[in-house]
Amino acid sequence: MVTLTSVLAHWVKTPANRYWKRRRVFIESGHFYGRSRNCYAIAIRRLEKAWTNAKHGRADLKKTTSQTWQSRISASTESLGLNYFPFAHGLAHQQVALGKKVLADLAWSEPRSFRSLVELARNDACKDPAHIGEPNENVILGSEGVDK
Amino acid sequence: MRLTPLLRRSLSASVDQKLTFARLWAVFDAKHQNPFNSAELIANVLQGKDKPLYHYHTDCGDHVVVINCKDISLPWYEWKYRMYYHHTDYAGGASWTAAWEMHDKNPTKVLEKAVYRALPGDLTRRLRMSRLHLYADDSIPDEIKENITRQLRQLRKVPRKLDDIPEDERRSFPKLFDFPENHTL
Repeated sequence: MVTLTSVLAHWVKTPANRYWKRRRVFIESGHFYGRSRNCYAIAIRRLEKAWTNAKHGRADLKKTTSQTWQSRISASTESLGLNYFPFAHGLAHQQVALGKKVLADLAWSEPRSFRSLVELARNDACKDPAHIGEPNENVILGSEGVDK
Repeated sequence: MRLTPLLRRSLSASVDQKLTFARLWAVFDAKHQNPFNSAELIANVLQGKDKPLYHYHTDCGDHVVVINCKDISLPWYEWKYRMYYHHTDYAGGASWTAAWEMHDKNPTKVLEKAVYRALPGDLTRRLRMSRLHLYADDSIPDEIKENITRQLRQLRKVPRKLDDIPEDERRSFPKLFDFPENHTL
């Protein structure tokens, strides 16, 4: 007779441990479709796949969120006549330490603050003649030009 | 990671929400524009990518009215060499239509297909295409014209033709000599 410590107790093959092992898996797989919800052999396979997908999703969420911020910022800067990369480069050169998240929030919540940031970046970019963009002559001012 | 941390629960907030997601109508003059470059611009507006609240799950696109579609300008020899393929699913049913031929049949078709290709190929594509209004010339129905609030920038300048330049400006342009009366240009 060997007495086991509580750490090693769950290696013992008893009906009780078999139940709790399955129970832990079924709690995670409760929202799956069909027999992968309540048949252990299928559930454990689907659960491993689900956790793998979730791991990839955690990385993808960071990427897509960053892309959303960037597209929001570039939507605002392009309506003010400056592309995203000259804007970001100009802010970095002027030592404005604002990240994409803060800039994207400023773009929709504080358009006037954002416009002054664009002006700051444009003044910086104007030192480099490659970045100066002249607007077209055949432009009729619309809603984007009314409140300038 | 939260994109819109605005926590307001009031009547003004719901009014703001409705105003924010209201559909705007833009007009684009396709005269002398490259339809494939213009299609990217128009597709961005149809998706709402020109707004600082763009999100790929949000239906925040605008309507675009395109006028003067018959005056688009294709680069190089593309009127001749750009082919539109169609197959009737019967044997020998393949057909290739050149861009100039398509343009003769329907002057809005080249731009329509260009915008269709520029939009992302998901379930929202047909919905977004339904917000695109194409007109061959500059006459727009009144019920559409009354909605328009802004104009999209043309991607390139429309060059002036000699016939468009007024007579007095043409006369005052400096020149070295006059052609003789019997000279044929």
